[in-house]
Amino acid sequence: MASTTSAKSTTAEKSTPQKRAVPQRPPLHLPVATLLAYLILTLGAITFVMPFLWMVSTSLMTISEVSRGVLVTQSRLLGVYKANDTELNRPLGEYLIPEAQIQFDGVAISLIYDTDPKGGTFDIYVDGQLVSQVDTHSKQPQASQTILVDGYPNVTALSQNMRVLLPDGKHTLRLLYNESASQGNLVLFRGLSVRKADGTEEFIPASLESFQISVGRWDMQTDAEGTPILKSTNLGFPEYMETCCRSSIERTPSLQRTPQARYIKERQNGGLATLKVNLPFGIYKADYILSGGVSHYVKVWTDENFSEYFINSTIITLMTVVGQTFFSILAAYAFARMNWPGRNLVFSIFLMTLFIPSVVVLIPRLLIVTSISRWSVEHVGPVFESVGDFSNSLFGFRIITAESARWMDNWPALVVPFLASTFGIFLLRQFFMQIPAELFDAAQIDGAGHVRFLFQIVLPISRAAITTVVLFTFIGTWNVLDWPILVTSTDNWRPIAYALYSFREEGGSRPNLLMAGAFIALFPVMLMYFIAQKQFTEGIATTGLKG
Amino acid sequence: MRTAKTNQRELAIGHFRRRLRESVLAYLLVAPAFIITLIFGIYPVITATWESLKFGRPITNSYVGLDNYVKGIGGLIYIVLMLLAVAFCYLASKAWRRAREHHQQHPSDNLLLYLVTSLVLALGLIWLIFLGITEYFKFGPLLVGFILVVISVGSYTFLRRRTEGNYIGNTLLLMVLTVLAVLIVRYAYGQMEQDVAESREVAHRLFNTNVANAVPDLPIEGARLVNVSLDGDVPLMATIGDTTYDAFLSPQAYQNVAVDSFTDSDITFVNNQKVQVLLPLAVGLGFQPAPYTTEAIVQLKTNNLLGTTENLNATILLSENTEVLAPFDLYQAQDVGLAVVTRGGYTPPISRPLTLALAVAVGIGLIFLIGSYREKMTEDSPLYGWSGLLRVILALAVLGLFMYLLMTIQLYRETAHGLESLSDQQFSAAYEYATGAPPRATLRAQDLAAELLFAPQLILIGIGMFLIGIAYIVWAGAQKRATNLGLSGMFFLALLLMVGGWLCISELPGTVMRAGAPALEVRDALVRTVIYSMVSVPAQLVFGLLLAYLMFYEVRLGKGMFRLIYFMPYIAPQIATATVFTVIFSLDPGGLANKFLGLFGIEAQKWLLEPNGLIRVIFKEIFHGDPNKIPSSFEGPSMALTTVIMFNIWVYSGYYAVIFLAGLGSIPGELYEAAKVDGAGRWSAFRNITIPLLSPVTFFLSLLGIIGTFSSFQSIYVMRSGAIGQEVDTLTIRIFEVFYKQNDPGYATALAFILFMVILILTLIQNQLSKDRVFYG
Repeated sequence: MASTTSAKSTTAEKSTPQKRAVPQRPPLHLPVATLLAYLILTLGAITFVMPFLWMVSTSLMTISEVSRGVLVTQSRLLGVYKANDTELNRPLGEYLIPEAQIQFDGVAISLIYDTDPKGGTFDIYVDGQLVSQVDTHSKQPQASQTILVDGYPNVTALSQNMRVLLPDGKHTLRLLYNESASQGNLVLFRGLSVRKADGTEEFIPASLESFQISVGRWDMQTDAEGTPILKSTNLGFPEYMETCCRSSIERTPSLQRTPQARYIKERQNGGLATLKVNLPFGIYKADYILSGGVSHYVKVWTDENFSEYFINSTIITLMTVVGQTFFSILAAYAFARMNWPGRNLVFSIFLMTLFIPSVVVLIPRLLIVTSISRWSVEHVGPVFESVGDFSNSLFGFRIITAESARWMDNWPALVVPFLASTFGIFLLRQFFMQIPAELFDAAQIDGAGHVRFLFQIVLPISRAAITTVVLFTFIGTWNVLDWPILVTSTDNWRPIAYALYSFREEGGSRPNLLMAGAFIALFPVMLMYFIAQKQFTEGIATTGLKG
Repeated sequence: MRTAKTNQRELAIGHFRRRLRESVLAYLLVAPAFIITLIFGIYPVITATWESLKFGRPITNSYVGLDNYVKGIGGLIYIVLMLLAVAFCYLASKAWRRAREHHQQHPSDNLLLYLVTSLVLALGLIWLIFLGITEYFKFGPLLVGFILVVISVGSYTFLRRRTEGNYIGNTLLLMVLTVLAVLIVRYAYGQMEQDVAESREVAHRLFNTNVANAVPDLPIEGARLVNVSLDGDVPLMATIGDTTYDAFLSPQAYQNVAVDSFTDSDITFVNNQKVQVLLPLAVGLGFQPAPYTTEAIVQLKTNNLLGTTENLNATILLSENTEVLAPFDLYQAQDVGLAVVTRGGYTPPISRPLTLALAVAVGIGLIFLIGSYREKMTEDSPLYGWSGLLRVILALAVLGLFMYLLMTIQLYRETAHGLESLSDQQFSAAYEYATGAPPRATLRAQDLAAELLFAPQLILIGIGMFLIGIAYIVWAGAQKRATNLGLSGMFFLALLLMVGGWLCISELPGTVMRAGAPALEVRDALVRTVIYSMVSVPAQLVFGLLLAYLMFYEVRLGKGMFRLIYFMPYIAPQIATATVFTVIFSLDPGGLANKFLGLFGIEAQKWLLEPNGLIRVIFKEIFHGDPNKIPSSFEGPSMALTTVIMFNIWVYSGYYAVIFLAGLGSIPGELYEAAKVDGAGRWSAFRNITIPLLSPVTFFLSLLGIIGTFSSFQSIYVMRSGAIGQEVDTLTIRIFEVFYKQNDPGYATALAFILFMVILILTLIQNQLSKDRVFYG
């Protein structure tokens, strides 16, 4: 051990005078230049920080504040409403789910609606039971769907012609419209055609009297003569959008032209429509309704299922980081400190992968994973099934289940291909090579083999490099989007990057919620960065250069 | 003595055992990472080569050869393959030269046996690799490959004992490269012949007087009557089975009515006229099919001859589909070219121009050969005169062959031009008329025309290179001419050849331009990628260096904090920050970017949704000019792409700064002190010390930046939106879209290889450029 300490001290002695010899900055500066430098650097820092601040600030704003373009929200951050029946008759604007509830007595109903080129679905509940889902996606401008209701609850077929058998009498029909993917979707629910038990039919048009339609930020009513007017008063929350709507009426001449203006497509500066049509208000089951900026986080976390995605991402990332770091350490040690035939050949094969753009590998890799998955289901699947039910064991929770033999849409596809990283091996190898050879000789004299030397001596002293590898693996895995898009088909294992991406695709008109989602996706990484920022910057500055 | 020897032996055995143990341990340590890299990193690339030659979905796909590449970059792929074959031949010739030099030291060795053995081994290896790539693991073919390898290895060991020199490496390289070059040429020729065969066949069918004069009746598609407005909702009764339903047709449903919905579209509408309307599917009650017929009175607005709008009442008769037929002139013989039509669209098989080109090349080679022999002869030698005559005859023959070649190529060009002049509608109509069946959906006249020109383009470019080579030789030989006239004549000839050569090579851009829609898409995507890369990387370098320099030399306090902040964008998940950018750069006037512009009195912009070029936008917003005055070739990258570039700069500048900072720390301070003693100012110290000493860092960063930007995916994929089409799609995004949305893995893989090739070439160029300029201390 004596030799190791001396080796250490010699290296320390060597390095300190070198450091001293490098003056950090040439002396003598004009204060003006320094001031200017500070000015530029501060401006730069503001540019770099601004988007993050804007993200947090926007996530707390109401929609109206976002489009008005205030910098910091003025509305309250958290409000809790107790939901009771009287309040529930008021539409609550952006906070509520578009839903309609109609009482009818009849045996058959037809749902008549305009189609939605982007696609969305109506969930149709009869007496509280989901009987059908109607896809509004179609290229034809208008469509309808008939549900024949006699002899409920015997659902015979959920095909093009849905038949739900329902006894005569009063029934409640609840319609829930799941909005479609992008901005400016204009779904018109035209009404219901109800066939009664006595054979007569009645058409209940979705007029403005029977359904209140809240149009994005606006609300619309008709006056006595049926001319549409825009009002922003009964939108639930008082501060909700006033000026913007008033000024926009003039800009939508099409409004006056349409006989019954059922929707408005707002055009701002020739841009895309930024409105979405919420279907009629309805009854909300929640006991409490949250409002205010903080509620956006709650809404994204619970309603948009970010909690599940977050857990998925955490599990996937932890598995990848642990596995990849472990394998990288082993391989890097073998490359750095052991002599074996073929070392250079194998290392150059590893290096080759650095030069192959990921997109070249992406597609064939998917094909390979697919065939592995198929093979595994066939040959490994029976083993899992014979062992039995895993759901009660400790880690059985999702990670090992009876379906674990399947790779696709499961964690193996997301984790296993990334268990080896050339970057990590390369970085650690560089670091391990700098460890003085005397250290190993001393350890060998003391009777330690390679494995003990690696785990008892090398690992503790190379904590900085390992931290860098861990951090970068973490970020890389947390951030990856293309691969999860390809290998997942259900939400079971979709990571948060995917959630944010798809939420952006559909949530174009809800930037505050989107920003709350972005914050949730960003938070763990930034937390790690602020805790371990020294390892980050120095790891990159010293090792990135050599890469 | 004996004990010492055994000791030594035991020592050696122990040493060997220790080495063995260490090796086994090392293999065990590397194995997990290596196996995973092999399966998921290397093997995919190998299978990708095979995958890129297939078309269709993964399980049902079929081999289509180079079609994917032809679709992506047109005839360029043949030129690339030709260049590849030439490069292989060049490398093979170098290997041959090395082997020859080695042989001259040991003249008694038999080189021929080595060559034969290497050929056998090369064939065996290539055969085995081919089987591996195509996953054709059958016993028989594998056995053949292994037998070839075993025979050649045995033969090598036998030869090594008999000969003094070692030729294995060079001859094997020579043979592998030669076989590969031959295979590539053979493969490319076969593929091209196949491509051209269809085009020739189609041209032959389409272009003749029968088809040109035909005027068949064809259904008119796509014609629409606009501004048909119904007077309110149209109530309909529909009977299905024995139940009757009410339905309402929305007025919007008939804003535009297809003309083929009306039985008589060309007669004027009069009041209460009956017309038949084709109900779009799924309109009405949603029952398929909708077997009902009913009438409704509607108001039709039509544009009359005076250009004013008339309101007419008409009765709509709802019924099944009807077709509107009209006589359709397939094409005009003048447009296609009279010569093409009278010739019956004939083009010779491509073996003819290729043979001619080869003959011309051989002929020119012969002329030079005779010339070089002739120089050695004396003037009174009997062959002297004859060889001169032979040379003239040969030259005339070559000229004749060359003219014939040009004429053959002209045939192709005329026919291709004829195909190009057909519109899609004309083409499919003529095709159906001529062959009796409609063309398959992917067949387009433009693509056929491009395919017809593959061989001529290849030949012309080959000739161009050849001519330039000859021009060089003539130029070099001109100095030997005694008379001024001869000298200037030779120079003139060289100049002519040079011009001719470049004219031929100038076919190359045309090859890229004259391609189908997918190839144009690829080209645009590639251009965007290049813009994306070439703007962001230098900007990042400049910003990074500026920030690092200021932090390092000018600032004492708060350096750590600045570094912390500058590194933040790089660390933060791009998926999240890109999402934030989409909100900041939203088209909403309240968005942060638009508010910032508002400070300067500039109107709100559409940013990520603005397909117009940056220069156009600036011209409009700042100089208040008419943006349409800027031609589209000068409009610069689109505003959307600019926004994406800004994001990239924002993310990476801080990272560059941190790395530059580390680089600045390693510059010895004595240099600055010495410079100061010499009286250098701050700028000249920066210019002459900092920049040269930072050049390795700069080189590393720019290499990383170019590879990174060319394969950048996540952020662009988040920031793009379908609303503006492919305006920000770089090639990586296109590849992903082709694979994911269009489900075409073969084409996507081919595109990925094209991208790989581009990156590889760029990296090589950069390496070459920086060889002299990077200063490694």
